Amino acid sequence: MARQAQTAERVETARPAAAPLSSSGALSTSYEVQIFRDKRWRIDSMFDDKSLALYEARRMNDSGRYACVRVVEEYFDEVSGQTKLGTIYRGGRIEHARQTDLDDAIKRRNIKQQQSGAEFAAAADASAKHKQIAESRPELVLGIAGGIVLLVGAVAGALLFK
Amino acid sequence: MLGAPETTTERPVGLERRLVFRLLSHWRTLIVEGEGDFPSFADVDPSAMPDVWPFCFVLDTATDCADDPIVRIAQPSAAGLAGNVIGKPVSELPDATLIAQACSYAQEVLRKRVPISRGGDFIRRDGMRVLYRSILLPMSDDGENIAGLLGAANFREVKEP
Repeated sequence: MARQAQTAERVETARPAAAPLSSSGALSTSYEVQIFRDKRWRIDSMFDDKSLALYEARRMNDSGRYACVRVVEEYFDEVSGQTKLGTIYRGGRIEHARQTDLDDAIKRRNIKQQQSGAEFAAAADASAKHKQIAESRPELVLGIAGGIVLLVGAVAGALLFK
Repeated sequence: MLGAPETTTERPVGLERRLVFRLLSHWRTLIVEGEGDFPSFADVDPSAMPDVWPFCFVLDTATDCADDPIVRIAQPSAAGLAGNVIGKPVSELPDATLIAQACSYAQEVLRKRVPISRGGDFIRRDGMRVLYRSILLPMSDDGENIAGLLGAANFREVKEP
């Protein structure tokens, strides 16, 4: 307690927070932890620190008490006067289910691609064999024709000299 | 405003280290299902959060002071600081002090009706740089109208070369 009082007494002067402020005094960047409840997104809490907002969102997500949790980054552009929003984290059971579906879809696609690849390889192999056979046919024909010619010649010669 | 003994005290595994998250978690547990979005000051039990309570203060926004909440320090042991600010409106808090920093966004909490946590740093009179983190939580007696804000803040010193 004595230490607390001592430290409290030493807190005398302060300077503005390190986080950037807009002219209105509002933070130019803030992070909203939002939960999905009653069919709409509601702000649960707000932070000026990204890591704290993400930490809290993950903590809430891991608790299993919330169907869906997300963190929205809100950036106020003082030059344009516009507010830019971006979701930097999605959690919750719905998102988990969505991610599972996405993973399954990726797995199915990969398997399909692998199957397609195997089929393509088999088709290419068969095509190559057909091509090889087709290319080897003229030699076979010529060989057979040559054999026939020789046979006919031999028979004819035998008949002439008989 | 007090130092941060939780940084030096050994805690059970799994217990949140940061003051603002401990208070935020406690605040959530006080919300009664079906009775509005905010807990009541009547539900706050200091003995249920002995490690957090010494860092807490209350902003009274009831009745005619909603536009400029009056600070009430909830913890009498914080007399070193509280003696100068109890009963004062936020706008009259000593400039560039931790309590002023911690209360500076009270209007935003009242407007957005959600807990907000902010941090920053300041230079003490002795030249020591101090980092702080604070949180303000809306409270209500009827679950709907905000009757005040429960706040907490702590800090740690940063030795600079």
